[in-house]
Amino acid sequence: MKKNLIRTALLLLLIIFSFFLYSTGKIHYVFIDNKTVTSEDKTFSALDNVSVFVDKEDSVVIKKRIRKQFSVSGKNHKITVTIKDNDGTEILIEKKFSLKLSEKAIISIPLLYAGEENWIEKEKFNP
Amino acid sequence: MNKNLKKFLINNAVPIIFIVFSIMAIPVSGFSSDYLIQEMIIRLGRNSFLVLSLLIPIIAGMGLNFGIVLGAMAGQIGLIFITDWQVAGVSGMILAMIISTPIAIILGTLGGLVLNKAKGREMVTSYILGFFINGVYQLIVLYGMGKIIPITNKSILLPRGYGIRNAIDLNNIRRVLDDLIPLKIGNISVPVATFILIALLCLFIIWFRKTKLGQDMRAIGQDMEVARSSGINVEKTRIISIIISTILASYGQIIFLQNIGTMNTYNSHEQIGMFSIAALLIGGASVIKATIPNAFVGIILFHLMFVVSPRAGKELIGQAQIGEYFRVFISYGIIALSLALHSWKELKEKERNRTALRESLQKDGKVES
Repeated sequence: MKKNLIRTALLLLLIIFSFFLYSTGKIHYVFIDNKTVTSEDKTFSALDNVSVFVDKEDSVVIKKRIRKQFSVSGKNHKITVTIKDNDGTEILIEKKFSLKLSEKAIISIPLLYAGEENWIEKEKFNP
Repeated sequence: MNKNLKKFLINNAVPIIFIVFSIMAIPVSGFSSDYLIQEMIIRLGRNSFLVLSLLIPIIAGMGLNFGIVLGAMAGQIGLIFITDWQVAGVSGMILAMIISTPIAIILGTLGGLVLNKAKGREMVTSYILGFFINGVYQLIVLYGMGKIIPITNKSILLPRGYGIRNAIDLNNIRRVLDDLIPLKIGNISVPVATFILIALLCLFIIWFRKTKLGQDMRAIGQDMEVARSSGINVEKTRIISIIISTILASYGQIIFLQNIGTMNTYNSHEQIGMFSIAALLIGGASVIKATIPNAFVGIILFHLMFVVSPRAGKELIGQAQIGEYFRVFISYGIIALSLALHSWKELKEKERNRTALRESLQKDGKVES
């Protein structure tokens, strides 16, 4: 009886651990747009000299009118955007976001730069 | 010649031959020492787990377990699932191991049950069992997956909508274990985490030999009937040894493929048994005795041959294929030679026992001379 209980408990622990591994290792796609967008009747223009990195991935330069795809694993993520102004000063923007298991994210750089709340759009992902 | 030296040479004839071949082939190949050391480190990390998984059935007297391909298939099924679910990194690799474990246990039990019906012919039986389970594996992966077993990731499915593609890109887990703890000594990078895992397996094997179950296996390996009469459940213990070997092989295949980075769905597992066994035998092991050093020496020598012989063949004759043929000839030949030597030794042992018995009976006057 005791032996069976221990075995069942271990099996349950293993299943819980598997779910933990699944959620920490699950890949999410993050699409980053540097395109001119219109939100609430306002137009936000695409930006020059933008470099982005998500989590610990390498920095990527995103030119105007370009969308880049990042694949990240886990629930919580951090995006770091560096924008070079016309006068040469660097502006650093850091934002944290979390994604559910079957979600992908679309991030707009112009909206993020303007400090708009809808800078991130989350959608259900179907492979 | 000194008797001890002669005995040493006879017992280690195979590794000595390989060392001599390597010493001759390395300068001809023209490879730099850095390149060869890097290759050997990569290949040690990649193959050690698989080769070490062969040791436990040898302790139990079941010979070389060609059935490790069953474990390799279990490992591959785990990898198919994590690729489908898109789980990456070390998490993905551990999840693949967890998924493959129950499959390996089932296959190991089946293997153990079949081998118990074929005592004394375990090696050939496990070899053929590998072909049988390969058929079942192909049926499941080629027709079951995507039809009965849900597969959502269309990139790993065949265009017809069911069945897994011939090759799966394991980009999500490529070298995750090897690069987990990066270490570079000069130009040579060392997969520290992989070696830690291998060291843990070695410690497990050393500890396991000292346990009650390990001692039971040794007793069965020495004499099955004596072990049975002393109260050991021979059949159950033999099944356990095959289960452990199959589980370890499934983990070994996952480690192997995370290093390679691509999985040949229908071929990756096929040669695993043959190459692992060849490596172990080249390291000086036999059908009845194998140690951890045998595994490491064997992997280094076997893979040194793998790397060096095609280039040496090209440099000598102008054709890399000559070296390749030589390598294949050596790896299969060594298995054949080892099995033949084992049978010959067994035959000699029986003859010696018969002569000793006859002589003792003659001495007692029970049999006329």
